[in-house]
Amino acid sequence: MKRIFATAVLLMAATGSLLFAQDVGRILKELDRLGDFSGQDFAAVYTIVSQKPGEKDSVTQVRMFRRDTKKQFAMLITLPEVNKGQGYLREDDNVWFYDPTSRKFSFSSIKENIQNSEAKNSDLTKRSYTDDYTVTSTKEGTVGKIPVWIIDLKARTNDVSYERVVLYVRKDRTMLLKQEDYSVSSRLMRTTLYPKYVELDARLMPSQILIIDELNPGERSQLTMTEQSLAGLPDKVFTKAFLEQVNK
Amino acid sequence: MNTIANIAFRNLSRQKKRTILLGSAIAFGVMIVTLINGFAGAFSSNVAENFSNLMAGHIFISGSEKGPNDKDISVIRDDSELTAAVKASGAPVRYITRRSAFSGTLIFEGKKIRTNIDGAELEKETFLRDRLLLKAGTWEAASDPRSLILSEKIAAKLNVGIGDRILVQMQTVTGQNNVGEFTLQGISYDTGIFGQMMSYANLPYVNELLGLAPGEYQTMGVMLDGLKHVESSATAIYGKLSGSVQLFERGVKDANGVETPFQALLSQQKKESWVGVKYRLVTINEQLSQIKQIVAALDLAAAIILVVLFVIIMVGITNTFRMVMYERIGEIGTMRALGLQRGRVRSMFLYEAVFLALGGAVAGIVLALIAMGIISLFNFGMNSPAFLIMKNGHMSFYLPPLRAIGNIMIIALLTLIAVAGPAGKAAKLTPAEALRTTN
Amino acid sequence: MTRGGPRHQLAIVVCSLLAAFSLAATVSAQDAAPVNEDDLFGSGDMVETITESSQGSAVKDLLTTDTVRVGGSLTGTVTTTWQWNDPWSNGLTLSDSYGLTPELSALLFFDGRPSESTRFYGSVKSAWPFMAKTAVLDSSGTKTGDTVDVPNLQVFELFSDFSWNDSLYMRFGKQTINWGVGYFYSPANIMNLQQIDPTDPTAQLEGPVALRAMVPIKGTQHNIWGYAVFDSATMKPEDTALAAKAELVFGGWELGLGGYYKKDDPIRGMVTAVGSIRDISLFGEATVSRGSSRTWVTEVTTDPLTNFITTTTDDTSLFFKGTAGFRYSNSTDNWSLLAQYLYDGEGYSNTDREARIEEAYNNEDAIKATLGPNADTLFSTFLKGLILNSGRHYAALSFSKSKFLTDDLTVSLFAMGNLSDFSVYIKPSLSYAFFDGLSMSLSPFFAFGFDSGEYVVLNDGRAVGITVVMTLGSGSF
Repeated sequence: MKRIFATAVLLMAATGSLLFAQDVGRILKELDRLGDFSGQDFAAVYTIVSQKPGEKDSVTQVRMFRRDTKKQFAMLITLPEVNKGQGYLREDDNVWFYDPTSRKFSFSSIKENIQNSEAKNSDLTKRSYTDDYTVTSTKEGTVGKIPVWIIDLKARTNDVSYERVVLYVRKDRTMLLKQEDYSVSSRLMRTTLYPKYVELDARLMPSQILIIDELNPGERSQLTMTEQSLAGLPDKVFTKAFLEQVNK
Repeated sequence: MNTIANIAFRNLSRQKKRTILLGSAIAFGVMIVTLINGFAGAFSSNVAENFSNLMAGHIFISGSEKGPNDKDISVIRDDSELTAAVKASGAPVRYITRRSAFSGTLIFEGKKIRTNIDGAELEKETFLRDRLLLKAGTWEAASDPRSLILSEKIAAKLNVGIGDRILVQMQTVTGQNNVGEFTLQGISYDTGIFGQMMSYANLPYVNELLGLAPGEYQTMGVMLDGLKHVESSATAIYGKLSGSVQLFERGVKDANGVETPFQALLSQQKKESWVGVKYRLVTINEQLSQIKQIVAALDLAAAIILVVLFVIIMVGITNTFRMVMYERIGEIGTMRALGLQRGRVRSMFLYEAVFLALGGAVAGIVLALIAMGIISLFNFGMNSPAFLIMKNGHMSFYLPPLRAIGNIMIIALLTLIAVAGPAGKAAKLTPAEALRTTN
Repeated sequence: MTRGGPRHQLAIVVCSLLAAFSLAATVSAQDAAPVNEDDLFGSGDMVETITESSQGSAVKDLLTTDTVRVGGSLTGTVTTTWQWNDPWSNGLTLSDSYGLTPELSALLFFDGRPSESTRFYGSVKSAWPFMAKTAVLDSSGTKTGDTVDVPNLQVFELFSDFSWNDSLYMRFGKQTINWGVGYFYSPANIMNLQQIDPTDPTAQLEGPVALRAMVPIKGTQHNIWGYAVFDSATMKPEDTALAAKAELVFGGWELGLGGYYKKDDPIRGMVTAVGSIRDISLFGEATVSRGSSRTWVTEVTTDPLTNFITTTTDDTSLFFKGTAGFRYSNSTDNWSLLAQYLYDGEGYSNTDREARIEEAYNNEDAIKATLGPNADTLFSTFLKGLILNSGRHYAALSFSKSKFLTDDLTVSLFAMGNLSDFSVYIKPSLSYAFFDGLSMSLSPFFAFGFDSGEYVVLNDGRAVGITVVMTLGSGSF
């Protein structure tokens, strides 16, 4: 009797955890889906405030447009005023930059330049949680007052930028609230908090992100995203004419 | 023509004061330039020698493996073939070193600084311990597996002392972010401009941070008996390795074993693909790109100084010879009246100038050699920060004979140009004009 | 870059911005308070449902503003120069010219954007001394001998942008029209009123009053432009200049093709190309014109009524100009190199040029006799005018390395030469930035060549000189 009972408990626990494992897999897939923008146009304004101890906060604001289907991307600065309008247009491997002082367009197709300026951070090549990580453990917890699943992930291959990542995902609705990135030596390097989201066309996007550098106390950046739009963008946005129009 | 030359020579000896003055000016300029050239000549070989001691090797073999995403990973997994080849090559090897290195950001109490950290077998590399003098801390304490030795410049910038814990942010060989924690156990004397490069730690911990297995490492260094064996030994070892392992082509170099930056640019553009570990062999000469830059800068500085000094001296020569021409206008008239052709008159002045220049140049070089000899007798000691550029504490000079001859020829040419004007004018005078003018 | 949600994009944006743009508005410093998660994640209501930012509004913000934006830049420098005109003959004692030139100039612009498809822009330049003397003319247009002070204000640009249906963009007014891709020399720069000054190649060039229409070709990055250029306030319709240009993108190369027509002016065609091979970016231009607007001097005379020259023009031959150059920059070691070669088919052949210069020297005394006081300076100006850009082959080079030895020190070299007469002008310099608003540069310069070499004449001899420039408080707002 005891044995049957024990087996039953074990079985239940097993199925429970099996169910739970499927749940986690689903959660990760959902997180990946939320980050996937192929097939749609996307535009938003990003305001970045970065803080370094001992230095004044620096504020920058940019407006970004992207159309992944055609590999088009335009980024224009709106703040600080002095640099308003500066930015670049990129299509595939070609980049156009407009210099408002001399009114000249400069054209470049040098791959290294593009990659260096855009991807100092290897997040650019991050594929997805499901592809890059396996789940090592899951438990329950809270972030502030909100109950969350705490999912511990380990990198599948040794070229994923962070060897270990801990995700804090809301229980009642799949939303990433906090992410901790660890080094190969299991040291917490960076904490990213997502305290605010917006819902647009049934898509959930973080509208405020706080990135805290755990190795350099006091260094952090706050990114606020506003004026999100998933609607089709006017074609003219990805043209040189627009770059010129927008600049002084 | 010989007569003209003789006349020219005698003219010089007639006006001894002026000749000596001009000649001394030329000699002075040549001496300065020769000293700089001599210094630059010895600079690179001294630094290479001192560096090879610090970098533990004259010849370096590193391995490259294709990792995920087609990126290159620097690693040597099994070095048995390498050690066998080195032995078989017959090169005069003093010892072999095994090292791994990475570039990372040191973080200590809010301060950050980028540096290269070399992981070495600190216990085994006695030659390193002899060369790298510690200002603070001891080599015994450096046996702590997580110990770190920094140069005094970096330690000062970070405001860190012996025993402090320092974080290092870096990346593994496959590009993953990693953080290490070191304890500062030694502060070394600043080795001049290269101080920033030299930070040392223990190989096992560096391997761990890089994501390499114990027993693996990145670069094998072969220390030979002397710098002069480098190129021949490198060729011998490369030959022995060709049979047993995959090898990269050795770069195209000039006589000094130096690849021009342009060639380096082209070669890094080539993309190849292979399986397993492919090895690359480089010599100390190729490694020291910063040295090349400095030597090039010194040579350039010498060339510029030569030009500037000579602009000044040539101006003096031109003016002096114009005065000479005016003074001797009666004499020129006489010679022309006696039938001397214009060309001969010009040649006479040109000969005078050339003799003056040659005399001054040779005197300058002799003076420079004497000066070099005297300066190299001073012993500055091994503790001074400039020890890298010296040979065992003494300044040394090496003047390539071709350069000396080149300098002399440049000076002769510049003098000819300087005098061309007045000589030409003198030649153009008609005898009547010349004789009519009185001074 | 195929997938990557807002999270990733934001990280990218942070990095690229922090790396690329250093000027930033500042906010009062905040203490780095530890993050209180309870506060941040307190209320359960974290999600805000928003409505779609209306399709245009994302773009609208950039294209319209409620207020007129006023901005500009101010440049202040103090330059001290010592020059020895011909130390090879005259010795290096007293310098031939030495002076202190303080320079103060400003550019003020206004940018009004009342609606998405219209914009008004104008810019005004001024420099010290702020008043300039202009000769007073009487009603028949002859100089009365009086001068009057007028403010030194130049309207540099004044135009309005208007577009139709996002497919036709027009600009009417005084505007800079940049056709070429060359850095030091640009033969394709046909319509601007100024040519590029190789010693200051990034300055904005003054342009004409023109109507420009631009049509981006949908679905591609190809563009077509058409221009009508007006040259005076009262003119005839048939004197309007017409020009057209197409820019096409193929792979990693952008090619331009253009033509320019004006009645009684040579008709011109041009081709440009920009691209790269590995890490080196290349650019080139070629222009061909039937006839030329240039006048060549056929003889230097002593007749003051014809300004001492007899000239000729050519309306029928084909003239060809071409330029090619490359640019390489290395961001790890912080250096860059730019070099460009120019072939100017309208230049004089060597024999002609040397003949004219010889004639000028031969007639020097006669000419000076008729010039009155300041004859020497006037003659020297005349000679310089004769010789400027007279050759057929030119080259220019610029090298610069920043963070040389220390973080604030930059070393650079500029050289330009006339390859037909082997004269060069070389200027190496060392600049140091003390702090924001104060920097100093030290540059010796040298002009080498034969007696009649272009850069030798332009610098009053085989000059050797030194300039020290202090840049004080210059910047944009």
